[in-house]
Amino acid sequence: MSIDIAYFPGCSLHSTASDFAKSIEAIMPALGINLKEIEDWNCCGASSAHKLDEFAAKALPARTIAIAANMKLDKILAPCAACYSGLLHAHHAVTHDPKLKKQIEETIGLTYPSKMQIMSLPEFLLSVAGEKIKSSVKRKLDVNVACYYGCLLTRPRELITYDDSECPQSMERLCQMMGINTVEWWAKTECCGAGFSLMDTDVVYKLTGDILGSARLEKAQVIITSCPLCHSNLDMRQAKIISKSKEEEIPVLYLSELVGYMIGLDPKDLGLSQHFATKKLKQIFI
Amino acid sequence: MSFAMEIKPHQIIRLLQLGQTEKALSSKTIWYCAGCQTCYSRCPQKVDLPKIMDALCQEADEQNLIHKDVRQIEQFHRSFIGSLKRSGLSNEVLLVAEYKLRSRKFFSDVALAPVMFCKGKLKLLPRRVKNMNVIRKIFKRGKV
Repeated sequence: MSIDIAYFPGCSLHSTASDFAKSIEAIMPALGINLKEIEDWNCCGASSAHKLDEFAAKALPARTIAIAANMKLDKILAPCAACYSGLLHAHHAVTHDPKLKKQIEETIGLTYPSKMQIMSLPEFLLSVAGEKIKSSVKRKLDVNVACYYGCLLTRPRELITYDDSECPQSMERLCQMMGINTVEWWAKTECCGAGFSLMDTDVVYKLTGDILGSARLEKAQVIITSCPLCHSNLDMRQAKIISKSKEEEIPVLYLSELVGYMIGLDPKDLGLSQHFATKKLKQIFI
Repeated sequence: MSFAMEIKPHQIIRLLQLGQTEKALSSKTIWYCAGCQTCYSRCPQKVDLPKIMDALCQEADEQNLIHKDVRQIEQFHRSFIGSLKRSGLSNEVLLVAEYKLRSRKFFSDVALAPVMFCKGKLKLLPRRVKNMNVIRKIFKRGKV
């Protein structure tokens, strides 16, 4: 029996992170999940809305959540960590502030639901599809994997309780279920610099460089992540970061790409060819 | 991100406590907060510093106190919101093009663009939200 879930891809998964979307949409049918893309969804507002327009920062995600409720769905999968955070913050604000709820309902012309479970990808795969993943493993992978959470998958701890914010383990547990060895490393929840990729790239070179260095220190051969911006900084910006130090490239996979590979899907269907750091990736996965 | 800030976050709080609000509002620091939530998650007093930083950015915008050296950050956010007002989504191709024009950083990352396009990472004709009336209402109600 398949499980229905509201799916909020967000702007990145429709463009610069279309490889992330490709792998998610490839693994879900195999795991018995029916993704129902939220009708006419809009941007969550990302960091720009909460920097400049507090009302929009809450109303934009609220509209998407209200539409999901209208579709008679009570769980939303938001794979992009920024969207996940935006939706969580909006849902918390609207359900705790009746005045804001009224203003938003008047503006969006929809009733806002009192309950909606908003889930990140690691949370979703572990809680809803964990057993199915474990029983569907078809490949062996003999590499050390460093699981990178970044900022918004586990913080703030006031809103997120499915995992610890200092030493999260949800992706490690999924790896263990698939028979993959993971490493512990200090940078697993350090910020990659996020949107500063465009606004001040030097900041990203420094922060992402530190993260890659930390993974290298623990002999990680692959990094997995579950955020399009983290992936972009670690993957697309890696060549420039290691060009001076001449260090070895570390392939960076999305969690869904790793799951897809392990349950036996064709790597061509997982978006791996869209990555930038592909030298080692080709040796290990293709 | 505090390594990139000339006034550290705890000093911003101190400025506010001492009534030196304008110094806080005109700092570069508030625009360099990436909202990583680390401080809020660790603070034993539960001070919501990311929310304070956001509020200071919005107030700085309202009072025209944005530091000249962070104009490119403000421009990025304005370009992003501009895209939302037009289509309800962030059109990454137009966003980057508009940002590069506004910030005059014409040539940085230019080598990445064709590679991204060939890898299917840049969509020239992305979708647009159908109910744009609601999106326009949201922004009319807000401040920007």
